Amino acid sequence: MANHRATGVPVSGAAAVPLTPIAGDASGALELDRLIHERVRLGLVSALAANPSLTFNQLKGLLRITDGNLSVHARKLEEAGYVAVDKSFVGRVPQTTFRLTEQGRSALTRYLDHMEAIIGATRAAEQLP
Amino acid sequence: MLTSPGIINISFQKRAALHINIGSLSRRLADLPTCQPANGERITLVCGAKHLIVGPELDTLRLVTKTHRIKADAPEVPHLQDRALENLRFIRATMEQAAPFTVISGSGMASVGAVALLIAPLAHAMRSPAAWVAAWLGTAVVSLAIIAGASVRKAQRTDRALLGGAERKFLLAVMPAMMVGLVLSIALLARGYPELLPAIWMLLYGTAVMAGGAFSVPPIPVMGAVFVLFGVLALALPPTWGDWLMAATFGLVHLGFGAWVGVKHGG
Repeated sequence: MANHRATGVPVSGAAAVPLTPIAGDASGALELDRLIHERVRLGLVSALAANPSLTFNQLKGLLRITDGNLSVHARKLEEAGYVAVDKSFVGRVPQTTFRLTEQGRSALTRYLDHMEAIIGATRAAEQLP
Repeated sequence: MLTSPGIINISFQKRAALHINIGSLSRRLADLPTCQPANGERITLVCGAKHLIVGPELDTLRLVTKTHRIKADAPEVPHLQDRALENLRFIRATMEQAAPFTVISGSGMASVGAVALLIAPLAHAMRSPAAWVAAWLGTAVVSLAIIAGASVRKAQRTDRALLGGAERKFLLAVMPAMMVGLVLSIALLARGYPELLPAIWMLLYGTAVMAGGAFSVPPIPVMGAVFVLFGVLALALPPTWGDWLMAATFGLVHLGFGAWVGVKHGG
């Protein structure tokens, strides 16, 4: 059995303190949403959360990314059901419009809750004597 | 820092607190270490989302993992809280930039329009160019104070940063044309061409507003375009029309677009 270097106390054995959820059912919330956590996709979802819809060019300008980069990340969000894509023509020019789905909005809300929980818990921990 | 390779990282931020870098651990909740109380301290484990594990009166963390080793001098992992704060800041900044909203106050713009309508007949009655310029410059200063005050109130009311990303870009875009307007005004006045000033003011104010409008709500660049059109008209019409065109633009146009912004874009 190994010992804790600092304290010399054995580092194995049965659980003594159970895990305690702070609030609610954390089974889904505990998992960090990797799909949104990536910076470009986080920006994409955040921008769409502030607008009913945005065109491809508007998003590209806002996030300052290339066409290819935006396409790849938008497709991942679309496949996950977070973003809905509408393709239309303005005159003869094709236009791709994105909007956030309810699923995407919920995912962003969960992600925000996740971040706030981390901040809150860390601050609480730092204030312990 | 205690490290179980490939499974968890735990870093002591303070003696009283433990933070778990939960990246892979979040998928291994069943393997999460449990705590064994010993002498006298509290240990808090921050495990991501909504889990806080508190071991009351602990000073010893007992890990139940199959492979672990203790590495006291490992580099500190970046603070979880800092990352979370940075992510929240990024989300907020992105939403602010993307939002169809402006801190430019519609009611402030309308008030500026009302002031211009009041001043136009007075300015028209002025006999000396210096007094005429003073009347309009005074109006500009008062208008600036009105729009600044109204915008501060709007930002406070809507809990929005007065100088957020979009607003800073707006100001940076507006400033060059406004500066040129100031310089040209002084030059034209000094060389005895005050009759050109209304057209110059409308053209350059319109240019400034159009440039800034790229970072604001749709009515703003449209208003800038209207000013430019009136500026062109002012160049074509006799100088005696100057004050009435000023009243039409700085007065009525501000009133109209101020109402539009007020109704459609948050007051």
